[in-house]
Amino acid sequence: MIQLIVQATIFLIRFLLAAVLITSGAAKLTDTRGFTLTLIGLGLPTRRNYLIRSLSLLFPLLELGLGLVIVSGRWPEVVDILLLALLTFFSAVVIRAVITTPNVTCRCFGALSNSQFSGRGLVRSLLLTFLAAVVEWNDIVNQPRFDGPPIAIILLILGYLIFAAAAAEAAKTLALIKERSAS
Amino acid sequence: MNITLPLWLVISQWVLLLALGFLAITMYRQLGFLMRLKEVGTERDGLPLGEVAPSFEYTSHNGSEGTPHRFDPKGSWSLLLFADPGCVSCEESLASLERLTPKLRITARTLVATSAEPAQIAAIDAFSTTFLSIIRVRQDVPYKLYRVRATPFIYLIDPEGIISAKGTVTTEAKIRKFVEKINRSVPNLEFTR
Repeated sequence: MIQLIVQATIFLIRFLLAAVLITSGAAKLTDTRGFTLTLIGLGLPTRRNYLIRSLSLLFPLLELGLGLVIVSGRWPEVVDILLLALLTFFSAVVIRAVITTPNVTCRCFGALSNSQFSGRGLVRSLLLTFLAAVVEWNDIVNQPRFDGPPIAIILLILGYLIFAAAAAEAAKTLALIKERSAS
Repeated sequence: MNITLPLWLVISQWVLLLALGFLAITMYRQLGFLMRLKEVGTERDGLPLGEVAPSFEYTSHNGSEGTPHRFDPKGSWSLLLFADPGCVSCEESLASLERLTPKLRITARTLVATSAEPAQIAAIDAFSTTFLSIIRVRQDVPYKLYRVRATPFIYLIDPEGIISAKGTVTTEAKIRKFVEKINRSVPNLEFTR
């Protein structure tokens, strides 16, 4: 019974992390201009305009793609390592930003949140990284399997794609309302 | 017919449901916050008219970069615009301000204050103005010292250091109105420019 509860909790953590990545990726995709400014603020050289523009697209796509692959249950050994690596990288970026460039707006979730890099954001990022480490630890110890009827998995991915579209639309709408209510 | 789904699929579906619910709550919260802002209105944004404008330290972005200066509101008229390179309205305001400040009937130093990083300021064309002084301030200057909740926000400060006019200026029409208001209220001061 305890084993079942532990397993269910770790599945819950895994899919919550996927939902966070999907929300973050979809919302960022609607505000690539804002994310470009964040990357510039973090110290990427502005003369390499092509690199900054590519990264402002690549990161959201990577988050969205990784989130959807997690949801599909395919290749858990590789995917969970990638998840841990990505979240560790994000935490390192947040630590650096909090120390060196705290004035920069994070835009971690596009227009859904507009906060600066802060201690609170760092705690959130470290918590997500810790949860990813727990998922990876479970992969090593228990080697969970993600089998299931293909039609159910396809429907599930479709459901998360609709969620991604809803998150993107919400971010876009909020950005518009913010702009209009300021006028 | 009994269909049994594996545990991970069931949990994944519940997470999807929770995530959708969370997204809806986030939207409502943000909308509620924006509505409250709208209700309060720009009249109550910023410091009250007639109050002494606080001084603050800044570094110049397009002047002697890196050297800290002190903004002393006394001594001359000042137009202080708080702007952010990330906001589209601010870019429009800067361009409008550059066009319309020569029409002011007073001599005023025009400062555009932002707490953004130098690289972010440099990346936005509208901030590469030679006419306006772009200054970098600490983050608490707009939000705490001058109580600015949304940019672009402008203050007109008289030579005594008193706030004479203020407002959110998101469009050229708003800046034009602001300039006209100043010209009407200070008709016989200095006819310069």
